[in-house]
Amino acid sequence: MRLMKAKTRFSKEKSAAFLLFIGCWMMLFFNFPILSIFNVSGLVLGYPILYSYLFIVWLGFIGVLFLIVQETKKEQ
Amino acid sequence: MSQWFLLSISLGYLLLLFALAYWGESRAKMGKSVINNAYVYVFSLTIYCTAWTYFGSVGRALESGIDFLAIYIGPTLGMPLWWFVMRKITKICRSRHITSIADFISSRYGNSRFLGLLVSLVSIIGVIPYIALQLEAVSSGFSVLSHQKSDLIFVSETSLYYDTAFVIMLILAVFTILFGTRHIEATERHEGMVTAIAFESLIKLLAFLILGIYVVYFVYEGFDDIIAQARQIPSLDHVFTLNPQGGYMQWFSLCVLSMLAFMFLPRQFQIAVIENVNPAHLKKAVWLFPLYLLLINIFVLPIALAGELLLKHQHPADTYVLALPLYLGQDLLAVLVYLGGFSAAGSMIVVSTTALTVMMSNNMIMPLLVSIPSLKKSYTVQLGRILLYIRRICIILILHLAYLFDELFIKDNPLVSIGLISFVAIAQFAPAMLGGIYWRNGNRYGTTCGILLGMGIWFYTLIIPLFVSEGFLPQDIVEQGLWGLFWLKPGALFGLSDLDPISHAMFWSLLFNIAAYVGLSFGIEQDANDANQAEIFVNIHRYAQEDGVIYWQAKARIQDLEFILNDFLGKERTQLALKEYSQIYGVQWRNSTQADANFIVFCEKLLAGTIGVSAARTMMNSVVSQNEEIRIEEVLHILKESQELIALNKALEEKSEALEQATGELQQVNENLQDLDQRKNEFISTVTHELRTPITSIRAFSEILYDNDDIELDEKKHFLNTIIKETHRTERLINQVLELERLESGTETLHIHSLDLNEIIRDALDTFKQVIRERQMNILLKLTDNLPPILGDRDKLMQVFINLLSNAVKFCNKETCIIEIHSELVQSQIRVSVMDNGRGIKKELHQLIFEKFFQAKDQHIRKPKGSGLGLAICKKILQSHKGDIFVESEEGEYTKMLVILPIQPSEELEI
Repeated sequence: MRLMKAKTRFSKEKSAAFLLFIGCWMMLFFNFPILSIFNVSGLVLGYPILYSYLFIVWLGFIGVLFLIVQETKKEQ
Repeated sequence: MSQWFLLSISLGYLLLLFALAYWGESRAKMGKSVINNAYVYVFSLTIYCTAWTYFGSVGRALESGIDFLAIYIGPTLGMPLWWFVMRKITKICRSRHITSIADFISSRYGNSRFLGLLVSLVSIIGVIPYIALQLEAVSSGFSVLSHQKSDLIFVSETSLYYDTAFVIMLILAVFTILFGTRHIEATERHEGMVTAIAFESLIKLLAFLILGIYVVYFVYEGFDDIIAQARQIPSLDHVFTLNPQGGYMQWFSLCVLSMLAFMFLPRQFQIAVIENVNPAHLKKAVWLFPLYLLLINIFVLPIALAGELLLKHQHPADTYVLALPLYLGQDLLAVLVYLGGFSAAGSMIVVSTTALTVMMSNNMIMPLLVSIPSLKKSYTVQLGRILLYIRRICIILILHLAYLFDELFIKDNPLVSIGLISFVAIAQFAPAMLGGIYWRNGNRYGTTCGILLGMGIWFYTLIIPLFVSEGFLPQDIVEQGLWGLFWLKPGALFGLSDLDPISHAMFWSLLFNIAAYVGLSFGIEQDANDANQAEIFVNIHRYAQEDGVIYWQAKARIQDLEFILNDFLGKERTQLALKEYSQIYGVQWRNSTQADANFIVFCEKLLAGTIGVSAARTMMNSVVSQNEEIRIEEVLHILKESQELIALNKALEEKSEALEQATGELQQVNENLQDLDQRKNEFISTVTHELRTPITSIRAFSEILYDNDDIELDEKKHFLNTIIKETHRTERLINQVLELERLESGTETLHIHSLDLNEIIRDALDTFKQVIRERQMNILLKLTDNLPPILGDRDKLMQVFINLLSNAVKFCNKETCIIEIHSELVQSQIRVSVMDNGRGIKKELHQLIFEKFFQAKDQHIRKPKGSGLGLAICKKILQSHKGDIFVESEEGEYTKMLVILPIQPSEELEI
């Protein structure tokens, strides 16, 4: 089982590609025009919409970064 | 709160930090480094969050809404890029003994001393406002806590030098001197300093979170409560959104600026690269650092709103973080928050000052010092010591400059806007840094010009307005433009008036910077030094293990080199390094007086780690005699050669692989050939054996007839008949052998026609009519009608069935002989079986009966009635028709020969 897990890990090149891809998505999600969709004055469950959007997406991306890095093979 | 109480708390906290730093240092000496830990590394990276974050975010949130978050989302966006860039930069710095961003840029662009100086100057000019901001934040925090308007502690308010900011500055200067200049070698890590900083990072996060939780859940009833109350106040509406007019552009610029600042601010570079123990720690930072940023920002908005609701403008917004717990009567919490802010500011000041000091001493002062011959001679013995004192003086100088800046400019400006001015300055390094490690053509002219232009625009668009607002320059410049030219207005350069000041400055400065960098790099050819360094930096993975020896064709006396090293490193350290060198390279350098290029490069790198690359180069030049100035053509030639060598190597590897493969194939072929040879020999011996039997009998009978004239006619006839039969047998055998050979070698031509298989079977059966009738055999003919035609050679297939039928006739039960012939269509094959009720064939022989001369080898089962080639020929014929033959048999019961022929054999039949 352990061996299997080690085998499925990403190589450095692969996770590099993944990370750059995620970087592009983050640029998209954190900038105009997608940002403007949520740039409205209103509340969701008592929280300002833009505020909640930024924090939730931010946390989401941190999670994705964590997963990618975690699955990357250890450096020699 | 009494000033003395606060002061003693601050001093107590500082003492704790001193103790921690000492502990860190002593652990490092014992070889149990505290900072060799991914979490400590990430926490020390969070010096990114300074007093600006701690106090200024709240102010920024109230002033321009949610865009304070861009400063923290920016590094998150840049994290994937940061990982690659920093990994490469760390590798380069390790292998080249680079100790600061100024060293890096000057080393990359041909060891340019001027570039080192320029980058150091820009860093100092850019970062001093930032340090000033920290001093201001701490001293204003102090004054809020002690309820004093002006923060005099010791003597009088008239004396500029005796206020809190000044005292804090002095204490931090002592800390920096103690822990930032412990070693002469700037490549050495500052274990104690980093330990204290990681601890401070923890404190500032905890203090801010505790304050946030207290305000949100104990003063109010949660986030929604604060927000609901704040929504009642119309003037707070802008806090919840981005301004659609220009807000997005500003947001974008802030993201980009903070991303670049996180990479290239001197203190970030110091912590991320120089203080990094293990490059694997970078990995943890990719997600943990953004998480820290997220956590420290969660409560910014609620605290800002609560401050606005409760304090109602009694304090500047930048001090709400402190004023709020005081207002709520939580003095202890206020002290904790103060210590958090103190940590944020203090750690930033200490690391920034350390980083700037190294730049200042190694890139500004040392190159100057070592290039003045008279100075060099008179101080030569204590240069190392002098270096340490220079660093200490630099620390005090930098902190004083920051203090002055604070006094002159910051007092009336919000924290964040001052910080952003620093960010724009630091962003000017980005083209030179990123281009430097990925683009080989970038050269020193482009870099120098780019940074100069970028900084010029930075100064004109951001600093001039600051001067104007402080009254040092006439108002006209901002309103009318320089010399009354409207397109030279600092806030709307070239008529670009739609952007906020920061985006505006960033846009123009980076545009000119990049344009100059790229344009001049293309326009002017690199010189040899530049090309050499570019190759090493861009392809560091290739050179990390080498010393770049081939690029330095020079000679020097070992004694001279040792002398220089002694000057800067001290005798002990020098001997250690030399020992290390001879261990690594196995060189008995003591035996010779001349140092080779390898040793010269080693010394230069060692020296670079202490006094900076450009000073090291100057020092080396004074003792190294280079036969002639190395020319660009030579470097290019060497580079080309090394690349050609690599290509050749690769080609060689490929060729040897191909050779190996060919050898393997040849071996295989050889084995096959040997096998074939073996079989051929066997075949020939069998054939000759088979031929000998009839020839022997022919000869025997012929001799009898020849020798005995008196043989009866009957007997004579009998003998002659035998001779004829044996001759036939010999002929048949020879024919069959020839046929088999033709089939096997592929020289037999098939005459392909469309055939009805049933008809062939019937014709074959016809030839046995006579025998069948004589021996009263029972033939059961079960042929399926209307079989589709097949393509094949009629004569050959006829031969197959005749052979099978003759076998069946030969071997069927002698008393009640039954032969059953069956044909049917199964899928796209026609199957014909010929079954007799003979004695059957043993299972293990089922494969062997199709071998040549099988019968001859196994005579006790069947009498040698045929040549033993019949079935082998059948199989060959059928295989050449894409068909096959099998046997099914039960011993003593039956033998069934099964012929399979495809209806539509593929176009070309194998022969």
